[in-house]
Amino acid sequence: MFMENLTVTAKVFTACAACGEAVVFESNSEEKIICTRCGSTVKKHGRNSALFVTAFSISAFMLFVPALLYPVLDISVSSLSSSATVLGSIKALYEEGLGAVGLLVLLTSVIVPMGFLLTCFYVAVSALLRRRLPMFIPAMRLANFFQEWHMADVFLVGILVSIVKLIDMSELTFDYGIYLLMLVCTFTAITEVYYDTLLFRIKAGNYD
Amino acid sequence: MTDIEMNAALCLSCRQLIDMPDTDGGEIICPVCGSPVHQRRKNSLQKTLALTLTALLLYIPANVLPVMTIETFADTSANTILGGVGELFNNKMYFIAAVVFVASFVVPLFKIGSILYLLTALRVRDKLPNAAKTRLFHLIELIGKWSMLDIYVITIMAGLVNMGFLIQIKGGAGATFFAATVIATMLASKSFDTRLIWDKKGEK
Ligand SMILES: [Zn+2]
Ligand SMILES: [Zn+2]
Repeated sequence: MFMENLTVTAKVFTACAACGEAVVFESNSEEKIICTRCGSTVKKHGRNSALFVTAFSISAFMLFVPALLYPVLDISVSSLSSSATVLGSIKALYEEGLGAVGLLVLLTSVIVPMGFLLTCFYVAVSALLRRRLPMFIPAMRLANFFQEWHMADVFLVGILVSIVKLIDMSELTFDYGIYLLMLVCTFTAITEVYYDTLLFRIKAGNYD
Repeated sequence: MTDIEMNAALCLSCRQLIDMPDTDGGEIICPVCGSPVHQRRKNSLQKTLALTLTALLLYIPANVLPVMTIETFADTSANTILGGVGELFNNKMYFIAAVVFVASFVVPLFKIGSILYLLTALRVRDKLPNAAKTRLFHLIELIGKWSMLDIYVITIMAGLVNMGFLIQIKGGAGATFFAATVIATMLASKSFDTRLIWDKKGEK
């Protein structure tokens, strides 16, 4: 009986990152908060968001591995045929002397998106369990960084544009890889919609 | 009330608002996550201007040099970015031509122009409300990465079309400059602190 209402809701002090307006809200608030001064989002909607991010980030991550290994497109010109995997195409750029571009593509379409999914998953699990897992803060900071530089979705559209460009001179067929990449991009987009540093940090609490 | 009026600073890493100690200078460390905290991004305007001008300079070779060469047994043709758009247009693939044109030509220029405008508007009075400027900034942040589209198209085509003497597609030097342009514009917008727009006195 005496235990009830011991969990006093603490206030969270933050500010709008776009204009500097100070914002205060209850730590258990699940509502979306919009800055009254500039209209930017201060905190996203909270209900079920940790669950969604957990589920979609790990699914996307697990699909990413076969998406990289399976060919995305098959092509045949006359009697010759070849197929492209994501990693194989990057290697081709490197061999043609465009190593810097190849490295950039590798980082933005493979390493950073995978890192984003993995760190998002870790931060979301912490939020779900309401405790900070080991290395919670480094994971959160990495997720913030990766969020700004992941471009797997642009890569997918790039594949679609290549299809249109090549369709005249050759016979093209879609391979498993492209369907996997489409799923990866959809799940990553859902992860990004629900992921919120501030919200998940508050949910994870201040203690290990 | 703003963070400056409250004598506080926002940690951009974990979004905690922190009281500024009275001692001037000296770096503040966020008590929640341990990141260094500044009230406003350090040297934001200088960095943004330098990166935007770099992007503008890189944009010239990016458009002049070929981004892709197609070698067949008969001939070799080199394509610049706009040349590739023109070819799609001639082949009546208007929609894809428009997508590539917007992503590789309009978006980088629009982004560079917008940043230069936002930087100028900090010094010169203009009619656009601060909220609209902030929305403009959110927009260029959102569309910036789509300029990389052509780089990925080149990657896939170079990886796929590799059939010895029959036909071979290779990336060109323009691709390196183009990728560098996109990265420079992205770094420029990430170093721009939109709070400086709102810090100007006498404006609501
Ligand atoms: Zn605001
Ligand atoms: Zn912090």
